[in-house]
Amino acid sequence: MSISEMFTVLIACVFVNNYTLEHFMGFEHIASDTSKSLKYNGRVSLLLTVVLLIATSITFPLDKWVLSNSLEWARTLSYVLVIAFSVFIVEKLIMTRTTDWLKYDSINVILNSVVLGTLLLNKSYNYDWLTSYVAVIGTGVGYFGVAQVVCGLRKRIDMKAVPESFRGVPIYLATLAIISFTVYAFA
Amino acid sequence: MEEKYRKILVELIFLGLTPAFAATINTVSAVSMEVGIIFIMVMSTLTMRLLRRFVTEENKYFVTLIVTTLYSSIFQMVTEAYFIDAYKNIGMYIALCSINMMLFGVAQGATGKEEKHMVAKVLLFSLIFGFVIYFVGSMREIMGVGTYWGQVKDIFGEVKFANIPVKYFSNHKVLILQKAPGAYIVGAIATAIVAYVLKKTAKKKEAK
Repeated sequence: MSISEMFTVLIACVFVNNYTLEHFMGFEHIASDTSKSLKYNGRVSLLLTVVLLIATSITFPLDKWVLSNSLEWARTLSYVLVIAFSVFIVEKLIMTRTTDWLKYDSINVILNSVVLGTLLLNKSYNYDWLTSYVAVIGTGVGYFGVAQVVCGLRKRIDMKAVPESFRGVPIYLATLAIISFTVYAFA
Repeated sequence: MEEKYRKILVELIFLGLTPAFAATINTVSAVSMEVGIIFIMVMSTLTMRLLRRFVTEENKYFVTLIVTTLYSSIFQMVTEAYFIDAYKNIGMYIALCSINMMLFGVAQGATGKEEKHMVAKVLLFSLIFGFVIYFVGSMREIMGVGTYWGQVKDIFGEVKFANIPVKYFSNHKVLILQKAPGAYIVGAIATAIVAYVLKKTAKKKEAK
């Protein structure tokens, strides 16, 4: 893929084809976050991007040389195990040394659907190795943007008098709908 | 139902919406995903219940992850083999069920202390969740494409305006509902309905 095509993929992953808003991946983690801290959300996005970069480094050769040889049925299981391994590496290398930097349960990273979803979508779009990295960075930036906007809005929404049935989950979904409209306008 | 449990139930539905929303582009896909989620939820709960003696505090996340992934892979393979049309729409999103927080939470809860009628509770919860997916899927199809189960149907019949027949939703579509924002909008309404109904039933029980 040429540089211009890679740039297109990057921009698409951030805005037009934002995996969080267009493919509904990881929005439940963003909207159910209770910390309401912009800094915390930024750090979580960075952590997810690092995990995704490590996972892509493993899944791409694994898919090319092992799974594509009539082992497609094991793709989901192997991807999940790779993600768990990547999270383990990040936890051992980074998180244990900087314990105060981010207090985040590692199981939440594995269960964040943006991680597995990005790996599967990159495979379904037939991206090459380098483009997969670009898409991963784009996804990280896109996730960061949505997390920041939703976190900022949540602070304001929780202070307003919302009808009782709409309080909590329904109003967050309505908020995501409005944000999704703005992203849809880019398409 | 207490206020705390009502909130937890609605939030649990919310946590399971990731693969479900992607499949609600039409009613057939929504029902396929609903069946899949109910299958994975019930089977993984039963399996975790059977394995609870071998599950310790250290390995519980890993075992639950493997069990949910196993059942989602089984469902994915069955759909790919026998329901190809449904697989084209929801194929990739079935894989996401393996790391779905709702399914994971319910399955992991099965390893806890003994509870009465646990499977019945899981089934009831999956039916409530099924209602949300079905509602979102059918509304997006009826209003977005003007069809229901793939067939053209005017739910308001033929309405005449100044002697001109107006076919709502088959001729006048709300196209945005077929896109991602539509899922969020209808999803917000569906979860609000669930929250409202749960609140009303709780009030009725209190009055008795």
